[in-house]
Amino acid sequence: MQPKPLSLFELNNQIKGILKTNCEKSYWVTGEISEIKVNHSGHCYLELIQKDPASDQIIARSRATIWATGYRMIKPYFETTTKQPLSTGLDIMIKVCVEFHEVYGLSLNITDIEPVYTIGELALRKQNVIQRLNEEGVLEMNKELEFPYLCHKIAVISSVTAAGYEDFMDQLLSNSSGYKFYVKLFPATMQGKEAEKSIISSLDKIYQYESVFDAVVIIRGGGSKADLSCFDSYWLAYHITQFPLPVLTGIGHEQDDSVVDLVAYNRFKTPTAVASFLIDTITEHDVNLHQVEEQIIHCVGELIIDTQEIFVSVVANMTQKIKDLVLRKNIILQDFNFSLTTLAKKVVYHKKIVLNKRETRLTISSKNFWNNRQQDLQTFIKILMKHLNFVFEKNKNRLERFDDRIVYLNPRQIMKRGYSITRKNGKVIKDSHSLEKGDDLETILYKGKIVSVLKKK
Amino acid sequence: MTQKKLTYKEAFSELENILVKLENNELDVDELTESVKKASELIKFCKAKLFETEEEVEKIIHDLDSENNK
Repeated sequence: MQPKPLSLFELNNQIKGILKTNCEKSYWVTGEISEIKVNHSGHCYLELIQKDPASDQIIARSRATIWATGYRMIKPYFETTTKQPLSTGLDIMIKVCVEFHEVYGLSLNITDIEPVYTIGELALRKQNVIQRLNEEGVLEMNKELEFPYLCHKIAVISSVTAAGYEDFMDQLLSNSSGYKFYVKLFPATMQGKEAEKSIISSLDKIYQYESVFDAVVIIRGGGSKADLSCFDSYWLAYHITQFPLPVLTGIGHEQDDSVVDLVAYNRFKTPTAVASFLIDTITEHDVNLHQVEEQIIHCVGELIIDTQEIFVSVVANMTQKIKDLVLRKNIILQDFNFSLTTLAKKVVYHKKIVLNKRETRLTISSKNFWNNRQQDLQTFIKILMKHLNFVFEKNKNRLERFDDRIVYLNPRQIMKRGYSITRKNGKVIKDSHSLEKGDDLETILYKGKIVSVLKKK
Repeated sequence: MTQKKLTYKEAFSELENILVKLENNELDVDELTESVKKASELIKFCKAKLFETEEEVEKIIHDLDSENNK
């Protein structure tokens, strides 16, 4: 026969009794917050779970409560110690009393918390993420990128309203040197459960315009003790390691670096520090450029001076050489001149001597010649005179004899003896044959003449 | 003044090359004029990159804005 059934209230009452007698007053328990909310009267309601580390399946679940009076103490204690808000995803260690209420069932009443446990758990979890990234060989990949030579086109991931973003922009765009930066904001939720997804989605957008930008900057508004556990997220960190542009972080928290900071190309404490870094890189270029400019100007100046000096020294050298040369030629010329004069004098002197000698010889010889000729002439004259006298004498005799003869030969002497000369027309007639009858003839006698006409032949 | 695709890095390394040549006295007076002219153009280009707004880049960033707001 069936026993008499218990009413639900009776059963629940029995369970309550069993739990009360068998459970100790309180336990220290560890578990993960899967849900947490605070109602209007300040009571905090949570759901705690435990996952199987291998399968990630939930293997235990329980409701828990922190009554308003306790919560007012536990919350600040936890948050100041861990620098974390009491929020979902956190592993916590709590002191609980197991309570069973006939209407609300089993619930854990939280009376105390051990924040150090959470810190340890977070560190451990972070360590696991880092280890996983390391094992996959991606941990250093973003750091291994070559930092752009000129980094001034910046994609920023931040929330639009974040004070940190404003600080960053102020610092960057009002840089005192007036360097030009191009900044484009890709808005994202920077805290809480949505942050991981939101930041990854912004990274994906930037990835589409990879060629436009030089670097990505992830910044977060400063000061608040908001939930930063998203920056220890494996997937966000993984995305950053795989990103083709260098990622700079300025997440702004005083604690140890997050995993995102760790995998980023470079991490900075604050958004302003990121801006300063970017300005510094440009300043470095500016300084280098200025130095190169100065050095070029300096070198060119020196080169010009050197060239001028070389030119001047060449000219000076040349002038000196020309002077030397002129001087040497002058000396040679003078020497030559002297030699020439001396030689000329010598030659003239010698020629003079020769000439004198000749002159003397000539004078002597001409005198001799003259004397000789004179003597010759006198001798000749004497001889001639002798001859002449002889000829004269001889001819005088002959002439005298001739004169005697010529007296006998004169026609008049002959005509004296009776001879005459007959002429026809002035011509002496020696033959009668040339005469004609009637010719007029002239006959010259010793004394007078006769003119006759031929009568007969 | 210079080729369209010249980057700051290329411009700067060319400047450094000119400087090295100058320092090593590798340039004669005739080449000097050409190199100084080139250097001054490169410096101008680099300074423009550091200090002046490139309309082209501004436009691209602006276009990104409008695409994101769609």
